[in-house]
Amino acid sequence: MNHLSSETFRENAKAALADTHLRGALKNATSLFGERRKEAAASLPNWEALRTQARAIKDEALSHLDRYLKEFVENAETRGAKVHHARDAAEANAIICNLAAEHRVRVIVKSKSMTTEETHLNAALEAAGMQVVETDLGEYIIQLADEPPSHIIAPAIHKTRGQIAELFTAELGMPPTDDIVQLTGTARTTLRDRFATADMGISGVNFAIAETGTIVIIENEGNIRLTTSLPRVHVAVMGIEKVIPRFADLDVFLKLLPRSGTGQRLTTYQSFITGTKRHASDEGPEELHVVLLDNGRSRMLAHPVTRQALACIRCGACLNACPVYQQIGGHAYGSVYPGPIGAVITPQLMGIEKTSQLPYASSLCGACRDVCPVKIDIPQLLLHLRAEISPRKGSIAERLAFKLWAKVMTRPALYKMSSVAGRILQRFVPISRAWINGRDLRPIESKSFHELWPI
Amino acid sequence: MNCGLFKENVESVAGHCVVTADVTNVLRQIIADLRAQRVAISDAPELAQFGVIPTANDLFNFEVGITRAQAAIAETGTLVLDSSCERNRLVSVVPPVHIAIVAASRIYPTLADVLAMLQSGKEVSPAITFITGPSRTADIELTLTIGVHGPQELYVVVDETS
Amino acid sequence: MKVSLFVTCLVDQLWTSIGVSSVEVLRRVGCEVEFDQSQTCCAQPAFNTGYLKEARQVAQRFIEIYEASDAEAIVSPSGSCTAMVRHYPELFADDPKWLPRAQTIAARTHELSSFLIRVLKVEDVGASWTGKITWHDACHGLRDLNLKHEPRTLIRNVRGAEFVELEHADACCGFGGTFSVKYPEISVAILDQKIDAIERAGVQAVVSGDASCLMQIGGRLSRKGSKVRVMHLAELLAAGERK
Repeated sequence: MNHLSSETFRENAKAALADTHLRGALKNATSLFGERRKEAAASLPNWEALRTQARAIKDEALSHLDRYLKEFVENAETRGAKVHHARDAAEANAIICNLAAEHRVRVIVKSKSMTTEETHLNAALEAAGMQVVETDLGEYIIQLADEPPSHIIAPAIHKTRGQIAELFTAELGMPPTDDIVQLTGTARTTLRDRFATADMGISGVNFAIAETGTIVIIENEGNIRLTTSLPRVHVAVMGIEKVIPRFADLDVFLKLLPRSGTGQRLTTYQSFITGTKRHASDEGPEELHVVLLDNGRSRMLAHPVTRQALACIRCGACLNACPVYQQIGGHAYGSVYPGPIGAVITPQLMGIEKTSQLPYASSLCGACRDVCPVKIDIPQLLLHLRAEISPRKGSIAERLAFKLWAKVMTRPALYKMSSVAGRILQRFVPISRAWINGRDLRPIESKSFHELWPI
Repeated sequence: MNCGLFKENVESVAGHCVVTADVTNVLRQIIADLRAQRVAISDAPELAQFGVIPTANDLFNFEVGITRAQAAIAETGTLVLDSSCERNRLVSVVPPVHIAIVAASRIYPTLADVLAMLQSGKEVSPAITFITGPSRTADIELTLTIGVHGPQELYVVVDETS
Repeated sequence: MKVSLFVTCLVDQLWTSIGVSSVEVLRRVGCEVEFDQSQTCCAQPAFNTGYLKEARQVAQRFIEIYEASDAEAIVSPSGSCTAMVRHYPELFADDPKWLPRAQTIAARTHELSSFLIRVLKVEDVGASWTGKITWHDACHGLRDLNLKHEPRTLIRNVRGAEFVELEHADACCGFGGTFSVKYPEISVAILDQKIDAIERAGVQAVVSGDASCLMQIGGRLSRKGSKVRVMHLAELLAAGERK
């Protein structure tokens, strides 16, 4: 897989802007998602109160995460689940590979899990000799195309139906058609056999309930139900921030997440799984393994500003609302999580070495904050990250420029001199090519307002 | 009454809903209309006349799966299946058509009501599923397509007599 | 009422007519306008780019200048600069000496349209301008200061102006401060959505409350040879005084 890197974000963005198929697909997807979300939110007169309530529940969970996690683990284990703690991606992958080896697993069916994308689980499993089949239609498409997901909830949204049709013809020998019903039918037929014969099912988790030890997973397609009920072993992978305190808390989140994500009142299926089956003869897996992933999350927990990013319920609404994402799509970010939430959590999960461009790739418009169901103040987080990064990683020229700027701005005499200098220099110094390329630039006034006064 | 709202909401998500005092005949009619030959059932005793209980693998060869639903939610048109009460987990998802029978008295007004019921006075069952309409996706160009991995058709039969 | 004008560095250097118009409008509605010559910048560029130390230095200067004024209000023709001043308490959250001073100044500072409508309760400033006109919601004014119906009310009362609501009026123009030159391609791509909407609206002018947005939008319109003008709200309101 040719992952783009966050280090080349600007170049990635330029390439994306030149891709007319992509831009068409993005315009279609983000505007439809946006309209549907807006209508769905408007249908609930207490929408704002729900957002506040959801954020309060998340804040409660995050401020006592160790306690709620402990409660979740105890309850899940009492009910027969085995819980594993993974400090980082490598550990998570190792745990799951070992489980697969122990259980002599050959074929794995997988449902969509951004957390497993984060750890690059599929590559690890394949390296260990397992066959991994993505069963969510969008994930199946990008698996065939050998690409990373470009959106948090609709991984293949960057592809047109024509591109998907070509892919299916090339990879599956499907007769050429770009009829969406037939494309979907092809995926269904191809994957049915895999569900029946898989040894292990791997899923994500939307919510983990501390009070009961229940994991809750939501979907539309039915592949999660099949993945988590047919194979003899079920592995559920989750970030530690997915824990919420009470079973009853689900009501608020089940009202907010489907509406914010797809504009639906409720997704087709919700699976509530608590431990393992009571009797050997019952349907369902023999074993349930829950893998709790840290991978930088407890570091984020430590700071009250960055902690709020852990409230994210992975709805994708911020992506659809973001003017930057709307133009360039998800791949350009070069990270598993794109868009506004991605710009905030990627530097924190992965470290700022290679991801330092991301917090600057925003006009700070705040549209994301408006649509976030848990009221994460993403612009505040972006500014916080910029304040961490600029003094350390800003170019020498930029750091000096702002030092000089501060001196000029705090000394009226210097300020007056600089505006005179500017008027002269603007005729000689090539004005920022970056601006001039697409836009005309106003010349500096021959008299500043200071000089016009009194009027 | 919850029935009317429930029916409306099932139909709004492309499910079929019949409210009836004669469940047996309605089921026979649905099966006949579908011209279904291979009908799978859960272990609910009243379903025995309609089909057989297959093995998990065999299920993939069946056209219709019939189960009860232990409860339902009026505000969303949702069925609630508790697999500790009935062998309904796979029969309700593998065959391309799912027919579910739910007692009118078991339709709760809201999702919050059902969450409370699922927890009240007992430990939560190992596997509970909420079902709202047939399976669907919008992963391709955000165009809605009904029928992906789960059933392509959902029939809900509300038993007025219970 | 006596107000002290914060003209903003952008208007001071690149668009003085916005400052002149602001003074004209404020006087027309009965204010005495004072201008402190030692003013410079609100510190937004440093704050937004992550240079908090430098931002604090410039913010402190702002606070000192306006503390020295006995004007009842500090008024600025910029939503983003006003929003920045409202952020001063955050900048000095850990500084017990400067925090109360920041809070006081923040509370005294108003964006022009907000000042007219919410403080002075004036909706008609006696302006006239003929033509079809639309409004672009600048992001900080809209989201930080909740300016939505204030500018629209003022525009609707301009005699002769036919107001059309812009499609996606609240979509960002793509300026975003240093974003516009760090990621110019993305900035212009976002901008072009706004330009398309403006062209579809068939207006003679697009009005906004922030010179930065106007520079961004105006710069692209003129590059594309468009006849559509950009105007600051102050310029519109100062136009054609009705006697």
